[in-house]
Amino acid sequence: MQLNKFVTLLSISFFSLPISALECQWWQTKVKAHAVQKHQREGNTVSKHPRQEHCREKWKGADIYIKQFKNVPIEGWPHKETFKTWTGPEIETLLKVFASAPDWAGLSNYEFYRALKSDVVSNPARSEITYKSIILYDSFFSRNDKLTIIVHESAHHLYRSLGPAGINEFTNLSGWQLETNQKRQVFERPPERLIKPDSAISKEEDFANHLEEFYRSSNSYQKSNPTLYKFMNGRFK
Amino acid sequence: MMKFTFGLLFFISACTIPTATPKDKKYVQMYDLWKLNPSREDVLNAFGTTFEAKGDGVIYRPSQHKSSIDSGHFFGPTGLLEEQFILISKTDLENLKQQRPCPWREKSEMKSIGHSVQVIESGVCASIGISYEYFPSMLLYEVRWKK
Repeated sequence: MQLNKFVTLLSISFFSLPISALECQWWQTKVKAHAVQKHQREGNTVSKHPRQEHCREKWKGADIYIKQFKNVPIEGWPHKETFKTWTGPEIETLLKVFASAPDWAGLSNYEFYRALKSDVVSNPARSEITYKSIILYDSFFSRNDKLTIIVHESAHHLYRSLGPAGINEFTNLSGWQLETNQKRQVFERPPERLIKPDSAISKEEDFANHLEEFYRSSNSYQKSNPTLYKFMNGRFK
Repeated sequence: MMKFTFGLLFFISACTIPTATPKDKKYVQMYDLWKLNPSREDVLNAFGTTFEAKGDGVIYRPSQHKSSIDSGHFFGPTGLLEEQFILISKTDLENLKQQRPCPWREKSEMKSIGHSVQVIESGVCASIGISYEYFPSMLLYEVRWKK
């Protein structure tokens, strides 16, 4: 009789416990139902109200970025490189990096692909401009400057967003010059003073290096490249 | 009657043979001039004397952006135009295709440009020796005529 009473009581107490049906994803955290106190938000007063139980992204933008990781090769890829699937820890690493990226990098516009090794020695990443993709190689994950690499790759995409007028302005300010060679072909002559040796590869690479420096060491960039700093600061802030 | 016939013939020929007028865009003028097998003098008369001599030819730079190139015109040993190019926008390329129809053979190919990769559109109209290719660093298309 005593046992029956105990089981009944136990059942009642078990079923009366608030059981949450809400399932959150691994990149999210569960926030219990609670009362939101009266507070100020963007100049407005938010009155006290109850807040339902909900899932919240662990890292800024994670709910958006999580959809952008692709596990298929890029069709027509011109390099002899092997694409592979993302692992959970790799995605987590990136979500943490993306959370601190500047808004102007526009990371929500790109798709992220994973490949084994670049055919350029120790290259951590590459961009495919037309379909807005960023490809990350094994070596990326051993680098300490992951955010800088992501900003640099974004810059390759942002170059296109400058439009012809913006590109003409960058061309003038950076010292690039369009010329024709003996074979009557158009080529671009790099300026004598380059921000990085590989800037000579192309004007787009040079732009990516400039924007990377503008982001990484803004003050020293302003001192060494005052006109280009103004150009970058007017667009990327 | 004769006046009428001449007028009619002129009207028909004007309708069937496209010829550039000074109001036409430069790429249309270049297209039409190319067909006339012009001399260096003809080219300079059409496009002005503010050129830069380059080897066996001349290039024109946009007045606002001296570091860029608008067009280039190259001449053979006899002084006749042998090759020319112009850098134009996608909209202008579409206009050119529309205004001066040509049986284009076109393709899109993913190519490595420096450290990035992108799809490069190109086209050839072999019957008049004209081709185009996307020039990514300027976001423009290079249209080239070559003999």
